[in-house]
Parts: sequence; structure tokens; C-alpha cells
Amino acid sequence: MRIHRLVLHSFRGIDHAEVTLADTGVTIIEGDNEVGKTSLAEAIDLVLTIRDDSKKAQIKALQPVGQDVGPEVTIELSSGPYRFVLHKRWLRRAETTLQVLEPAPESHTGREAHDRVTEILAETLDVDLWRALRLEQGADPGNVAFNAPSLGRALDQSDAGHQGSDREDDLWERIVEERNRYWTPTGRPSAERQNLADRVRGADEAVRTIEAELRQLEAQTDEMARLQAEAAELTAQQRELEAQERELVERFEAVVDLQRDLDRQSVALQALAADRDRWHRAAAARHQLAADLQDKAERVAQATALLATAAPEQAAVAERQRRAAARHDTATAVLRDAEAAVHRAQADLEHRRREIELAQFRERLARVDEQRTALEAAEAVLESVTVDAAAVADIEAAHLEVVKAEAALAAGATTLRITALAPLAGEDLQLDGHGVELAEGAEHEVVLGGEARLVIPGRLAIDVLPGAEAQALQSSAESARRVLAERCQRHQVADLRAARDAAARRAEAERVVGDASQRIRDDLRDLAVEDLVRKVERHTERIARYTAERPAAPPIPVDFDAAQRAASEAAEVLAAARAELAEAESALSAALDAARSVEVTTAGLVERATLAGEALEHAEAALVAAQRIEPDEAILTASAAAEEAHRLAEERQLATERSLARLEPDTVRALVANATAARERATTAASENRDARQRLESILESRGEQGLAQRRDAALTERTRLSLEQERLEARAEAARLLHQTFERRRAEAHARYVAPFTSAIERLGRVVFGESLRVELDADLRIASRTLHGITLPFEQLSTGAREQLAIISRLACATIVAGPDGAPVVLDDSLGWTDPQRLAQMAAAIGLAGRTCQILLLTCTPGRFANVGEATTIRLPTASSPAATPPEAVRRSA
Amino acid sequence: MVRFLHTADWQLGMARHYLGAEAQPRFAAARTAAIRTIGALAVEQGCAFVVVCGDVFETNQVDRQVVVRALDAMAATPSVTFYLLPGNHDPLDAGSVFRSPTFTMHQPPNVVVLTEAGPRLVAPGVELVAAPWRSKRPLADLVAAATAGLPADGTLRIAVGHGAVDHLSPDDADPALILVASLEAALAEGRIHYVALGDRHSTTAVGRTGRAWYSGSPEPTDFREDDAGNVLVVELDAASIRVTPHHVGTWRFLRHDAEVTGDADLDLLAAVLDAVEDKARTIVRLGLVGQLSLREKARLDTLLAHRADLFASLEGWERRIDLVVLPDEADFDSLELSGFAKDALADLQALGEGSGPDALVAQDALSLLFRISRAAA
Repeated sequence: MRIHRLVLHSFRGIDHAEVTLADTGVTIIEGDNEVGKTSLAEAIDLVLTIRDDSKKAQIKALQPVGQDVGPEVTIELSSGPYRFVLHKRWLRRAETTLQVLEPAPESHTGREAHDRVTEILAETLDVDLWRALRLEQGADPGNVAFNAPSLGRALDQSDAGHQGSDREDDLWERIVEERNRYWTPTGRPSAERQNLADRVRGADEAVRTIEAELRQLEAQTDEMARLQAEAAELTAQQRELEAQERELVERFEAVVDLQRDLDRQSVALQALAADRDRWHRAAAARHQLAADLQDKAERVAQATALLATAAPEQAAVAERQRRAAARHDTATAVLRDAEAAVHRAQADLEHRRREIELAQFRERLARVDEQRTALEAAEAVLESVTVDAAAVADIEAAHLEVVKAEAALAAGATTLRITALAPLAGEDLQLDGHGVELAEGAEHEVVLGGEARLVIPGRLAIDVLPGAEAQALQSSAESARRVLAERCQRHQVADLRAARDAAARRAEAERVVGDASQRIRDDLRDLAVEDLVRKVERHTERIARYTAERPAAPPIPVDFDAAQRAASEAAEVLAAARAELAEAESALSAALDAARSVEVTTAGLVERATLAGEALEHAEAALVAAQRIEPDEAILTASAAAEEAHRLAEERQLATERSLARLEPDTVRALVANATAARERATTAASENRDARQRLESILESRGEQGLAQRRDAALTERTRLSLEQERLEARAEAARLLHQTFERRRAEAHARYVAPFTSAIERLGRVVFGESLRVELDADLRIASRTLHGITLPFEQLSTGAREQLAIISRLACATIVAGPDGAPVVLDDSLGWTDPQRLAQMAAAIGLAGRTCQILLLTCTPGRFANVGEATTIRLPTASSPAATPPEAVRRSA
Repeated sequence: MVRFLHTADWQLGMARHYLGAEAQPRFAAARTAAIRTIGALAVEQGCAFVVVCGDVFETNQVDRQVVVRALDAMAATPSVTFYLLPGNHDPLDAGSVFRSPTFTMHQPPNVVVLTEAGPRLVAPGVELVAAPWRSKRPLADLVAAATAGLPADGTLRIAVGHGAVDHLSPDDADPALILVASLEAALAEGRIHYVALGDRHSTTAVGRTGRAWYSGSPEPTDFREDDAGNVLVVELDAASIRVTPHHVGTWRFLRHDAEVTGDADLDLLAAVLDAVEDKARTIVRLGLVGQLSLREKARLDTLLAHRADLFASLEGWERRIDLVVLPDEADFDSLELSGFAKDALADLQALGEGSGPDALVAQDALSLLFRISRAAA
């Protein structure tokens, strides 16, 4: 189908619009929604399908708002060999006119015109294709199945002969139908087959059941034959066994008689044995009484003897006890003495120790007194002698000055040397008034500091007068001497030597003070002198008192060591005394125990003797009493008689037993029992056999009448028939399955080849949009199943909305290009690609342009310029509602 | 001189599972009808009595109806006494049909069961020496046992036995085999004069004396039997013997083997079948070999389907037989299949030309396609 021209008048918002379309190529119609851009697409459908007298709401909605006019549509189109112009007006002045232009001119009006159009379209238009190629605004841009006949035909032409014709389709349907008679969709046997299989199984079971019954019947028949044979045997057996039993019973009766004799003898023998035993017991009892008497007498003797041996022992024990008591007393006294001795020795030791201490205290006190005396003397020296080391140094310094001044004087002054030519006495010569005494040859030099007068009494006086220098020197020397003298005087010494002596004395006194103090400290230690004195006093007093109070004897040991020895000895004596006492105590205790034990023993012996005596009396009484009843001799005689009677009876019984044994009673008894049991068993068996036969007889009688063989034959026939039927049915099922399988496989292969051109057409257009890596896969209904891009395959449903819409458009374009001839239909896209970005839109435009080379494409859009990229296209702009209706649509032919 | 009728193996109550619901009762009825025929023949031939040598009944467990109808048929000729011998199918065991209440209650006076082994006087100077089966597995030659110790005293004796004879049996180990040598010795010594046997369903003379016979079954029972459907009228004295077979059977078992490879063979097969008389009482088993095209097979099927209705039974064509069915070019050419259908057809043809079960299925599939496509065209 090709649409050549479309005219709308008073159609919705459109006052008047006329659109002329190229046979092939793209026509873009731009217009607002309210203008009725979409009305164009709608108008095509309505004019072709709705009669002019329709009052449908759909038609009423076509009327322009507020105007009571009839909407009109005129369309010129070609379909197949036909080309016609159809005009329709609805609602107001409804009319239809049809001008068929090709192949032969026709003209129709009214209903006739409408019917003729319907007829032409039915003959030439592939409605499925027409619908498939339209993508309306707001419709789901989903996947459309392209199983339109015209596409099929087109694809067939491209791959001639591989897709079957209607004939093959029909055959295929029959094959499927045939297959479905025998198989469920999941490949399981159909209900009919299962039912038949069940019936075959049932028939099998029936045959088996009857055959089992027959086998049982046969077995019962055999059993009956066996039982009959057995019955005869049993009867014979029974008779024979009865005869055997009778004979044995006779033998057994003889045994029984003899046995009865034996039993009687046995009873008698038992009585005799009892009699004999009774006499034996009487003799034994008498013997026992005598023995008892003897025994009791022996016991009395024993007890008496024991009692006799107990007396000396008793005495010994008493003696031992006495000795132990004495020893104990002695040990106690010794201990007491030893304790006193220890006490005394301790006191003595203390006494001696104290004496030693006293001596020591005294000694220390004496030393202290001595030191104190020395100390006092030394302190007195210290008091009196003030010259100390410093004073000595002071005096020595002064002395040195004197020496130096005198030396200077000597050197500078006049020295007067007197030499005695003859012994000179003091009266002989005086110097300055002092006699000079000199031995012959001795010299006496005097340095003269001043004037000196040498007088030989009576004779002469020589004055020596010093010069000035000598006087000075003299003066210095006199000054030095004065200093020295002052210092000596101050220290109360005469001269340097005296000073030095005094200092030595003072030092000695100081040393003595130190030594004495140290010694005093040493002796006193922590005591004061008074304490020491007190100790001495106290010790002295205690020693005196001890000496006075202590008894004279024994004498106090001579010294401390002796006292120590005495104390030690006394302690040893005490220990010994204690040990002895302990020993004595335990000896005493043992002796007491022994005494008690002997006492008890003796008492027991006495008791025993008493009891034994009593027992003896009893025994004697018992024996006497017994003898009084039956004398010993009587018992002995009776016992012997009973013994003899028993022996004789025993011999008789033995003889009888031997007779009985000769008859083999056990064997006979066993044989009888066995024969009886055998006979009884045979009887039982015969009776069981009879019962079994009766039972079987009745079973066989009733069974034989049941016509089992016929029933088996019927069942076998039924089974054979059913098996045969099943065999045939299964063969048919298998045939149908194989036929279906083979056709299905070949059909699928053919289909795969068949979709190839369509697939390649989609891919050819699609690669313009998606690039070279695009692959699509189509399903059996020629629907896009999946898209592969850059090696990634996605199912159609998982693609983005945009991609889905793009693929949907591309597949329509592809379809249209394949069915491009007179069979084809225009592709109508209403406001598509809203989800597509500008770059993709350009690519889609290119694809649309490519498809437009071979088919008619109608693009409706309310977005001017959306398809600006379509290369070769005619754009028609619909007038807006407000524009004057007269304005014809602006048509622009563009060339790429 | 005595004249009597020798028959055996009535096998009353026998069923043939390949017979349909319609033929089976007719088959059974024919066996009962044969009894009346025998009775009438005995009267006509002036037979003193009829001996039935075993297997009167197919089994001891036959239906009551079979028993009463048989007794009724025998009662139809009261002048003829029927001596019935228990055979291996109906032995005189505990479950024996001859002792069943149905039998004893309806037993007519002219029916005698040979229950005792040994001689029995049936006419002046004539004795039957019966060897009845008492179980299904006897452990000795019953005939030899029954005839042992009989004197050659001029009494005309007819031994009545049942079972295989050693000359004709493949089973040497069977202790119940009837020894021909022993029979012939007794015949030679004049202790017995005729041996009436049952068990073989085809009429058969035993040995060379002419005095020992299997009468055969009065109605055939199987395809294997070569001379069934007869009874023997025996005319006997010590010096001479005359045995005359009379055909009384009304049914026929027919086995037909043929090779069919084309329309000509099919024409022949049709002619052969059409030539058979009394089709309603004929049981046919076909053994067809060869190869047919689908069209020819379809023709064969039609041909046989029609005749199956005519015959009591036409067996062998329903089952898979040694007949290869392969389409030839002509079969599918007229359909002008194209596209995938053509390819699928080629696949099936290739598969069908192979061997084994797959090939059979493929042939079936081709036949099916043939049928479907013709319906579709």
C-alpha cells in the first residue's frame, strides 16, 4: 500500500489540511498535538474502516469543538494493482465516494463505495503488516512479531523454496496434531496410551491370577493322589503296629507282677531296717550315757588339778606385789632427797658465783678510786701549771731574741775574758760585786754592755766603760732580757728550761687525766660508782646471810667450779632417781595386774570345778535312770536279733531283683511306650489324612465346576488382543513421534535460514545507529530476541527504553524495505524517539533516510526539527489551530 | 466280527486366542456339533459303539456348559454307546471332570467312562481293554500294563489307549511312552486285535500291522496338523481288519507363505485368499516377505482388511511381518512437498532404508506421512 494524498476537513482541530506524500522516501509532518498531527494517522484508519453512517463515539469525537459540521477525510492510495480516491464525511451530510483510477476506472458511492474499498483492501492489503509497521504515539515501542504473510512471502522470495507454502504449513499442523494424539506436550504418553498400558497390565494380571489358581488346583489334585496312596499305607501300618503293641503289653504284664512282689518285699525290708536302726540307736544312746559320765568325771579331776596349781602362783604374785610396792616407796624417798640435794647444790653454786662477782665489783671499785686519786693529782697540776705549749713557744721566742741580742752584744760589745792563772776564789775577784771563782786555766768571758767593775777586793777596782755602740747593744740585750723575764714571770717560771719543764709536766698531767678517765669509764661501764658500791654492799650482805643461814653440813664446795660440779652431780642423781621411780611404778602396776589376773583365774577355776561337779552328778543320775528302765544287756540282745532279721529279708529281696532284671523291664517298658506312641501317631496320621482328603475333595469338587480353563482362555485371548492393540498403538505413537521430530528439526532449520534476510536487513540499518558490532537474533515469530553489541548480548527486554524503541523502529524499517513492492505498507512513526539523545537521533535519522530509499515512511512529530537530520525528506508543517484554515500547509522539499 | 467307531481328542472347551469374539463361540460350537455328527455316522455305519480315546475334554477344568452340551450331544443317539477314556488332558485324578457333579448328574446311559484299567465286556465276545490316565504324569506304558497277562482265548479285544508311541515321539525319556513293539507282540499273539489310540490330532497308522491307529481329532485344532478332522470306522475280527476314515471336520487351519514385491504379487495373494471356500470356518495365518512401496502397502492393508472380515481369522498382517515398506519416488511425488517438508521426508527415507528398530519406526513414520499428506492434499 502506498498513500499518495490525504485531505482532512473539519477534522478535530484541523479546519483543512492536505498532505501529499511521495511514493518512496520520508515525509515528515510537523504539528502540535492539538492541531491533530496524530489525527492524520487516525484519519487513514477511519476513512478506510468506518462507514459514513457510523455514530460511534470515536467518530463523534472527530467533530471540531463547538461546530456542528461533518468531519471529512479524503485519501488517495494504491494497494496491489488498485489506485483509488476515497472520500468520506460523517455525522453531517454523511457521504462516501470512491473513484477507482487503476487498473480500470470505477466509481462508487455510499455503502457500495465502502464495501468496494473493504473488498480491495481484503484482497490486496496485508493488514498484519500494516499494523506492524505503525508505531503510534504513546504506544509501547515494544517488540512486534513480524509474522505477517507478506513479510513471509517476501522472505520466501529471498530464499526461494525453503519455507513451505500453505500446503506444508497445513501438513505440519496435521503432523503436530497426529503427534499430540499419542504424546502430551511434555513428551509423556497420552492418556489413551497410558490407559491401554494399564489395561494390558490388568489383563496380564488376570491371566496370572487364573493361572495361579490353575496351578494351585493342579497341586491340590496331586496332593489328593498322594493322600490317597498315603491313606492305604497308613491303614496297613496301623494294623501292624497294633499287633506289635499287644505282644509287648503281655510281656510287660509279667514284669509288672514281679515288680509288685518286689515292691512288697521292699516295704517289709524297710520296716525291718527301721527296727534294726531303732535298736542300734538305743545301744548308741546307752553308750553315750556311759561315755558322758566318764567325760564329766574327767572334767572334775581336771578342774581340781588346775585349782591346786593356782595356789602357789597366787602367793608368788602377792610377793611380787609387795616387793614392787617397797621398791616404789624407796624410789620416792630417793627422789625427794635428790631433789633437795639439787636444790642445795644450786644455792651453793649461786653463792659461789655471787662471791666471785663481789670480788670483781670490789676490784673495779678499787681501780676506780685509784684512778680518781691520780686524776685529782693531775688536775691539781693542771690547775697550777699554766705553761702550755703556746707559753713555751712564747718564751722560746723571747729567749731567742735574748740570744740574738746577746750575740750581737757579744760581737759588738766588749768582751771581758778572765783567765785564772791560779785558782781563783770568789773573794779574789769580784765583778760588779759578784765574786768570780775560777779554776786554774779556766776562762770567764763577760760581754760588757755597760759599765762593769772588776774588783780585786782590796786591791783594785777596774771599771770598764763601754762605748756608745756597746751601750746600744747593751740596751737591746737588756730589753730582750726584760721581755724574757716578763714572760717567764708571767708563766711563773724562771727561765726557758723551767718553762719547758713546766710544759712537760702539764702535758703529763693531761695524759694522766685522759688515761684515768678512760679507766674509770672502763671499770664502771654502765654503772655509776654509787651503783657499784651498792652492789658490793648487797652482795656482801647476801653472802654473809647465806653463810649464816646455811647448815654447816655438808660443807659448801670450796669454789665455784666445785659447786658447779656438785650441782651437776646432784642433777644426775635426780635423773637417776626419777628413772628408778618410773620403773618402780610400772613394776608395781604390772604386779598389781598380775595379782588381779591370778585372782580372776582362780575364781574361774573354782567356778569350773563347781560346775563340773554338778555335771557329774547329773550324768550319774541319767545313767542310773536309764538302766533302771532297760538294762544294758537287754538292749544288746534285741539289737543283734533285729540285725539278723534284716539281713535275711535283704537277701530275699536281692533274689527277687535278679529275677526281675532277667525280664529286662526297662527295655520292655520302652518298647511298649514306643509301640503305643507309634500306634497313636499312625492313628493321628490316618485321621489327619482323612480330614485332608475330605477337605481337598470338597475344594476340588467346587473348583472343578468353576470352568477355570475357559476363564483362562478368555483372559489369554483378551491379553493377546490388548497386547496386539498396544503394539500397534505404540508403533503408531513412535511413528508419529519420529515424524514430528524430523519435521520439527527441518522446520527449525528452514526457519533459521528464512529469518536470515530479515536479520541482515535489521542489522544493515541498525549498524548505522549502533555501529558495526551490532548483531540481533530473531525468534520464531521474527521478534527481536536479543541484541549483541561489542560482543555483549542482552535480551531485548533488558535493553534501555531508548534502545528498545530504536530497535523497534529499525525492525519496522527493515520489514518495510523487504516488503517494499506493491505488497508493502507505509511505515508510520508518531512522535517516536523521544528517549533518544541528539547524536543517536542523527544516526536514527540516517537509518530512516536509508530505509526511505525503497519504502514510504511517514514521520509525525510535534517537535519541529527532531528529524532535521533525515537526508532526503519532505517536511510538511500543519497549520496551528489559530491560523486561518485557508492557509495551506507549508511543504518544503529538502535535498541532502 | 465287530464294527465300531474310533475317535479321539475332541478337546472340548479348547479356545484359540487368535479367534475373535465372533469366531470363538462358533469354533467351540463346531466341536460339540462334531459329536452329533459322529453319533449319526455311527448309527448310519451300524457301529456297535464309539470309543473315544482320551482328551474328550481340553482340561478337567472345563466350563459346566461345555460338559452338559457334550453329554447332551451324545444323548442324541441313545442307541450308540460312547466309551470315554480319560487322557492326559482330562486324567482321572481327584479333580477329574468325569467325577464332577455336573458330569455324573447329567451323564446319559449311553455314556460310559472307562475308569478301570483292563478288559471290559462291551459286546458278546468283544472286550475293550482300557488304559485310562489317572494323572498327568504316568510312570509307565499304561497300554502295556492294561494288556499284560491277557490270554489269547478267542475274545476279540480292542485296546483303548492314549499318548505318544515311541516310534513317533521325540522324547525317549518319557516313561509313559507306548511301546509299539509291545503292542505288536500282543497283536501277533492274538491277545488283542486292535489298538485304538488318541493323542495325535492327525489320522495316523501305527506300525505295519494296520491294526493300530490314531484316529485324529474330528475337528482340526492347529496349523501344524496335516490330516485332522477324521474319525475311523473299524470293522474287525481275528482274521481281518478294515479301517475306513470319514471326514467329519468343518473347520480348516490354513497357513499361506508368499513373497510380495509388487502389485502382481498382491493380485495373486488376493486370488489365493478369494479361492478359499468356507472362509467363515477357515483360520488363515499369512507369512509375507518382500518389499512394498507405501502405496502398495496401503493396497495390501486394504486388501487384507476386507478379507479379515470374511475369514474366521486372518492372522499375520496385523503384526510386523517380514515385509519392508519403503516409499518409492512415486509415493510422495504427487504431493509436491517443498521446503523443510521435503528435507524431512528425505531424512525419514534415509532412516527407513537402514536396518534395526529405527528403520521400522521410520517406515511407519513414512506410512503415516503418506496417509496424512494424502488427507491434507
